[in-house]
Amino acid sequence: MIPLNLPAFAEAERPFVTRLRTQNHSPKPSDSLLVDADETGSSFAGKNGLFAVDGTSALQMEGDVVLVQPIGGGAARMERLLRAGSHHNTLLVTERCDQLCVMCSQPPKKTHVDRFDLFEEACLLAEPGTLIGISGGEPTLYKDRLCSMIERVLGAREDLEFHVLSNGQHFERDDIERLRNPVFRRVCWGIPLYGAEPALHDRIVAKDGAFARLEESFATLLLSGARIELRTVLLSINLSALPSLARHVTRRLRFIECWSIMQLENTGFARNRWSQLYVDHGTNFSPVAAALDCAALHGIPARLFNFPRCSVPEPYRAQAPASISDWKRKYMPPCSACREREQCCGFFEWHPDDEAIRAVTPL
Amino acid sequence: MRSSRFLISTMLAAGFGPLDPAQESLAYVTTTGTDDPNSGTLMRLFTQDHEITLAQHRSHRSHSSHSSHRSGGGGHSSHMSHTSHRSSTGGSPLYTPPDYSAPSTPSPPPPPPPPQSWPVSPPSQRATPPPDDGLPALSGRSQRFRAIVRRVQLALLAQGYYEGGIDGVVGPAMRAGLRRFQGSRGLSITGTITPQTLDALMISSE
Amino acid sequence: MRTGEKALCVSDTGRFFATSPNFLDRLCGENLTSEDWDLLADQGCAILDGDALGAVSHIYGVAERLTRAGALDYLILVPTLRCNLSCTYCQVSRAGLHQPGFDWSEETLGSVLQLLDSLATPRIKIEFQGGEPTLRPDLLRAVIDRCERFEDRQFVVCTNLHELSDEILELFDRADLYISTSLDGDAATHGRNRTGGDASTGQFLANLRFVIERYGPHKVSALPTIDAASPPDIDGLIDAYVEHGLESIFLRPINYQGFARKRYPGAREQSDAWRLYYERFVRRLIERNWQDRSRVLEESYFSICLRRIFQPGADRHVDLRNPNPMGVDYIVVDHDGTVFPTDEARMLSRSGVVDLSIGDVANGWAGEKRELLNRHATNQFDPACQRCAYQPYCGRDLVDDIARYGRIDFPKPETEFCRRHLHIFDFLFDLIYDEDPAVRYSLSRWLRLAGTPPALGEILG
Repeated sequence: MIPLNLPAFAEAERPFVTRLRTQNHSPKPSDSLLVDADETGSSFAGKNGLFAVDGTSALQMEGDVVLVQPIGGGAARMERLLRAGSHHNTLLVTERCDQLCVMCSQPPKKTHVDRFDLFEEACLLAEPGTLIGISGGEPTLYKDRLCSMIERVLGAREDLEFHVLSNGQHFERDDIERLRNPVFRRVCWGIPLYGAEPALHDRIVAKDGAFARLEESFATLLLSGARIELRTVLLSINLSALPSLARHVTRRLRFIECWSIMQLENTGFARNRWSQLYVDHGTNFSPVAAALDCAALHGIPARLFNFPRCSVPEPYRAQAPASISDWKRKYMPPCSACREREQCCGFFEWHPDDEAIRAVTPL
Repeated sequence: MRSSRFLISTMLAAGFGPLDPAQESLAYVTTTGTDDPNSGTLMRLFTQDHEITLAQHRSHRSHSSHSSHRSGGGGHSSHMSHTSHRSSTGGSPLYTPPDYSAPSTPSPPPPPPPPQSWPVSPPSQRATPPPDDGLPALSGRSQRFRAIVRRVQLALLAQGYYEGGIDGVVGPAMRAGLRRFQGSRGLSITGTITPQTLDALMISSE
Repeated sequence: MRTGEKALCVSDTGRFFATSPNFLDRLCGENLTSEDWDLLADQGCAILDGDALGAVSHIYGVAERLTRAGALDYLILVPTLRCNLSCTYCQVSRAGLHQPGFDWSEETLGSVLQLLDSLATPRIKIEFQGGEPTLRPDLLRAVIDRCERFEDRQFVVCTNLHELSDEILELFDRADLYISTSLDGDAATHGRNRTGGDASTGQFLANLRFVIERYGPHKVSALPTIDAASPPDIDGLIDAYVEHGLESIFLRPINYQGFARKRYPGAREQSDAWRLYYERFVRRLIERNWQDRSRVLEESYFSICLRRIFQPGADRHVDLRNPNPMGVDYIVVDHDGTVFPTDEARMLSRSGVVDLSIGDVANGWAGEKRELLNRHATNQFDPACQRCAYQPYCGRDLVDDIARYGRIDFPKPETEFCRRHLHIFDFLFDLIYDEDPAVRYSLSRWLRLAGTPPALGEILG
């Protein structure tokens, strides 16, 4: 596990964004330079003053764009928003959501803290060519704030891109003109669809009418020329319907950029419902195979996320890339012998070890 | 080439006559590439000219490195030109666009980070032994912080910019002292402990 | 459909299904039941009231079938017309090995290099044709070196592999360079058509073996040119390819151009006999693929047409697309710098049939001639094509029509292009609905699927 949030101590009274630097040459105004460090932590100073952090070594945080959030009496927390050299950076823009997916990995809260300005500042400091993830809760509950931030960041930085997770419940026809702004070519919307049958999808997201509303949004997004990554989490309740979902996608949703079929993550709501929800694709791969073949037949790119390669039959293995973020990935002991380890996603940190180890067969 | 040398001397003779206006505009809309997504042409309406195939080749994205041939992973070599020698009725060039497919799409972010309950007071990462004076234990970060602040306070005191206690706490009096010092040295007046201030006070790292 | 009593229905988006004559009657008589409507909507072939996504998806599907030609990123370059062989069916007016005046001048080379510098795309594909391009390795190198700046490069050298100098091998050693050559079948056939004597044929075969051993079969593509009047033994031809590890065979009947026109009077129209041969060939491939699963053999054009049905945009085969932009995303630059929209157009013009040049590399080619060609380069408005079920999959080849008939406005069903593709698509749909596992296996491989679905087409009603 790579810790993303560290306890800190800071002189600032309001939250601020800065980039951590361990060397002094040509610092920018937004940089905070290393003051001292030892094996327990380090301290930095920038225009917002001095702050000290416990935990990760300073060198590992070199170049990170962080948000320091004072919480009173000098105490603070430091969030590593955009880690230098990592391909997996996500900004959590809200914890509110209007759906309640049965396997939600980020269970929603009723409160919202607006941090869009701080996130915007952070994005402008991102390393060249970064792909920045946006997540929640449901980011489009603050659609205007979100789109404004995206427009300003991508307008100022032609090298950056965003990937935004959204339940697709809030796109309107009026949004088309805005979404056709060329900056949105560098935005990909990750939108879940769990089944072709409205009742199944609605049940999984715990919202009546979600499927129908999502179809309206798809029409809007199609007319906007939006880029969409369709996402489907594999659950015991939708596995057998996966082929019919594939058919649906190849008919009505041809405009998506790709379809990601994802294995369940043992976190959030899924943790307590693990035995009901988790389905082992290793023992019943044929609906997945049928869905992948249907997608490939009709020219829809599809891939498997969070499927360890040894658990996928050989002809489909190329479609199972290393998808788990570095900060929450682990491998099992036998994996060190596997020749495909580098291309394999491994497991989530919180995947039950006993299940993981049973599932593994080094290649 | 002069037209009199040809069997078919004009295009008109070959049947390239007048056209339905819809047909005229079809050629135009499908071949003129503009950067303006609102130019109204049919497919541009849907795609915003996404150079999808090009976006895949950014090497910094971990997923693009897994792109091989077209989806299906059949390993089918698709680069071959079938014109080979001479073109013929069928042997025309076969061009395979780079991967518009499966693994070549931009790397999506992971599902959001696991829920963290934000601590009201930051937990210590290491147990610190209680100080001998019976005062409450301080965490590593706060100790480090206070140590540096004390050194700044001492330095300001030595140069006459500060008269308060050497307590490791940045209070209003210290901020005022910092501002006076920064002003006198031509530094940016922030009232905070900036790296330039530390340098000017000659406080180096331990 | 050719087999059985089922009818094939294809929507404007290329979505298809097979159905009973009763359903077809209801469809044509416009008295569909509400179950019929539901089935059609489920197929994506009908849009029910209030279904905004269905409507927009449909338009998208139609648009997906239309070509979108981007910026120029594919050049066919003819640095010399000289050749060291004299193949019986050669279509271009080839020049003798030592004839002066048939290579790129310094100015023409300069213009080509300037053109390369001016291209806006990050990727480039260059195909060297001729004559025999390996006669001028210096010109090939000059072009290849100039392309270093492109992020993504692909070079194809179309060569008879008659001579392999060190200089040529050094170019061939590049990982981004591929070799395309002719292999007409067994040594006797190949010799008869192309190389003449045994020594020459032997030299070619040795060179072919050499490059395949050195680089692996994926570096090389070969295609046979077939005399439609007396095509070679099918297994003999397949074996000649398999022996070299080559799995894609593009059956190319001798074309009505250049030398071919003089020696093969019957080449004017591809006969029914040819179509029967073609079918037997493909069926033999299916059999052999089923017997030997270690390799997948294909007839390349058949695979392209198959993928046209299911995967619009998968291949960018410039001969089969609608509309078919001329001189937009790819051009041909001849030995004298003249620019043609296609290689066929170059040959037709060189044979004195019609002038299809659109400009020259120094001064450009975006003129009235090109616009005229492009206005006609579509099947979208042809009345015969509009009534044809295969329109979404088919294309438009102006140059082929001119080559055969001297005009582009013959009624479609009377043209070879149409007859050929009608045949191919009829055959394809027979196979798509064929329940023979060997057929499904080969089709699935040609469609680049990981598995073999139980059915590739649906049957309604």
